[in-house]
Amino acid sequence: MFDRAAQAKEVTLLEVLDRVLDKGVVISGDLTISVADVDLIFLGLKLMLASVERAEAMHGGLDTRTAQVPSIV
Amino acid sequence: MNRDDGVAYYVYGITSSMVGWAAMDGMESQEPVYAIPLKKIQAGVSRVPLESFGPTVLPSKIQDATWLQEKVLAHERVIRTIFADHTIIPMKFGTLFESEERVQAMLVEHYAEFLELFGKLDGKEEWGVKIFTDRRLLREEIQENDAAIKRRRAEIAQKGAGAAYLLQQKLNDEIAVRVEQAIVDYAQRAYTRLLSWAVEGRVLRLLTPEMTGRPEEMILHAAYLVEWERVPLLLVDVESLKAEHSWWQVECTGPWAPYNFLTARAEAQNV
Repeated sequence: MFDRAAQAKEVTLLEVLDRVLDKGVVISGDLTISVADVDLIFLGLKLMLASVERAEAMHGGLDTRTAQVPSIV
Repeated sequence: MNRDDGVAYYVYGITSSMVGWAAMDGMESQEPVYAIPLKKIQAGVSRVPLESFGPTVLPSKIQDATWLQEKVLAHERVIRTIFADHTIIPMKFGTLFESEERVQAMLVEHYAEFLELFGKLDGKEEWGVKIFTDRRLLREEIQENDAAIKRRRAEIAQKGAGAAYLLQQKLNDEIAVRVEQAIVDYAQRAYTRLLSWAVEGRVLRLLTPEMTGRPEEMILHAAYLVEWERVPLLLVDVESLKAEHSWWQVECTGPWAPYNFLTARAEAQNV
């Protein structure tokens, strides 16, 4: 058994957003809203993302593998 | 267990009943994640306030970039904590139910589907691959290595100014087509080559420079579902792909929960 954690690569916030907002099993719950236009959300976030990712790069990246995703303001 | 006033149940994902959903923080710090079981499976949920997640409020809340980002990261953190040791079927962001009974009813309704998915996903994880290119460098490489283009350029140099201009325009157009074709070909080949290490692959939509915040053009965005034991092989091949061209950058991220592979049957896909 090899060490899965040792192979983990840094992921970007954009990729997290892309998967969590756009992928995943779609089960309509009673109250589920549709995050219909992810593109629009992305574009709305883009400036903030760019600045966040630069900040992350300076702090060594977003290491989500450790499940210590920093809260980014 | 009835519909609580002001509370909804946010579902993160589905696991087998053998998995311990430890009391970790979810969307709200005061509301730990816990499991709602049904036979062999369970849903990981936490309570969230309707004042943020209610159907009339959420559409405007998600316009708030800071709020959305915090909640999306919370969702992913829960998924990742479980996924580190277990197979999980991640839900899309914002899957909400009125009560625990309604969550259970959802588990009943989709029970067979979830079991089938576990069968497919067990022992595998998702990896993402992106390839970026600097079109200018690719164009230079094509111009320098293509004998026919070199010959035509030499011919153009012999012509008078007017004819040379028109011929040069024509050649430029043809080179642009060649560059475009090369991008499609290289992306296709890279995708197919990496697919040989995977159980399944998906071609994802290309993200624009606006979205990625980097100037290079994305020419491939793909996800692969890979057996744990095969991951080192994939990563080694990614490294060798990286070194193949100076005009591209190959990036690999993972492991991810299998966000892109949540249909029970494999789907064949082309670039």
